[in-house]
Amino acid sequence: MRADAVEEFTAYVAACSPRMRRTAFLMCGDWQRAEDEVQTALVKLYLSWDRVRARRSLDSFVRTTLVRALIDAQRRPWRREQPRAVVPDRAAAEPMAVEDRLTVRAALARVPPRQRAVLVLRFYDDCDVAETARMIGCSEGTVKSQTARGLARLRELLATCEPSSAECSEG
Amino acid sequence: MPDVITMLRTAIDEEPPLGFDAADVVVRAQKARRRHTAIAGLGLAGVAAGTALALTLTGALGAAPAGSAGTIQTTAFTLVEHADGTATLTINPSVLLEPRTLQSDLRQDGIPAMVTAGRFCSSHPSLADFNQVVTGQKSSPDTMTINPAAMPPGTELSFGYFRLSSGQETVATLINTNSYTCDSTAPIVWPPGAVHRVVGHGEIVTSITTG
Repeated sequence: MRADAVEEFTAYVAACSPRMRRTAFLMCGDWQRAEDEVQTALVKLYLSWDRVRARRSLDSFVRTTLVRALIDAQRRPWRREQPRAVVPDRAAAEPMAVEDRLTVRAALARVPPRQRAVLVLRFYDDCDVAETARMIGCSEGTVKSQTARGLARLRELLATCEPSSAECSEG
Repeated sequence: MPDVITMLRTAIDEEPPLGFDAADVVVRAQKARRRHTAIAGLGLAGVAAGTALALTLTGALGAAPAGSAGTIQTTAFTLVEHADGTATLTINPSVLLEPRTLQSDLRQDGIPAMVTAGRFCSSHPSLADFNQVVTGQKSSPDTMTINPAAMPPGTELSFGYFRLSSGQETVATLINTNSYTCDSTAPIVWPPGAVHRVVGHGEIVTSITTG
């Protein structure tokens, strides 16, 4: 890679890494794994830099790589998520805002991965239906139905979560 | 119940600091590219071996090819090992150098070396044998020839690699492995014949061997 391309890549990585890690975290619920997946996606971007940069689709490339890797991970038994009734490592006396966060995370972790990815892409990353469909590799109709189901599931779970303990029943 | 966007934003409150930066990604990517190249090379070597075997079996092959010196090529540098035991190192100033790769490749070619990024290790006083070990080429400023046979016992070549605001710099010197210190800045003034410096600003490369 030429020096000017490396500089451009470096600037892009510095700008995009925090928000891409947040997107990955919302999809997997683990900051460390989110960081690993973002780095893997950025390595792929480096290896395809000229082609992707020419198409002006850097964010889309990284998000697509992330989303597909995180959804695919569900198919691997050793990486499959193990939903827990209680979020681990929670301090005993935490302020209300922390309880809210843990409750949302606990509920989000129980939304099926593909529905969760759709919710994150559409509501957090502000992607439209067509873009979301391209990134996940499904039809626009599927994105719409997964959005509706994901929202319903999230609301259902939040209604059953105990704000004081961040516990959610199966619903 | 709060809206979905608020909920998602709540979930990422208090995120930990990022544990990597762009340089880490570049190093990982260069390793990945190198691995792919090596695997592709193995495939080609397999094909070549198969072809050679077929030619031998048909009696078409005469004398075995003479042993050729090895070449290690990465995007950041090329290291050519010659039959007389010397090696030529060419640094690509347009690509970030991966210190550990260069260090292990030099050692693999029988050149005891320590490669550091953002630091330069040197012995004081500097070793007079450096000019016999490393020689520059005026016609090709990013290239240096290394003669490991001229290295006294107990010495190593020290390479310090620095990123500049508009390029990069690699400085080489000879150190005594039992007595050296490391500094986080590239040396500016050195005794004659003590260091070899390759400075690259994009495509423009300059090389200076003091002395």
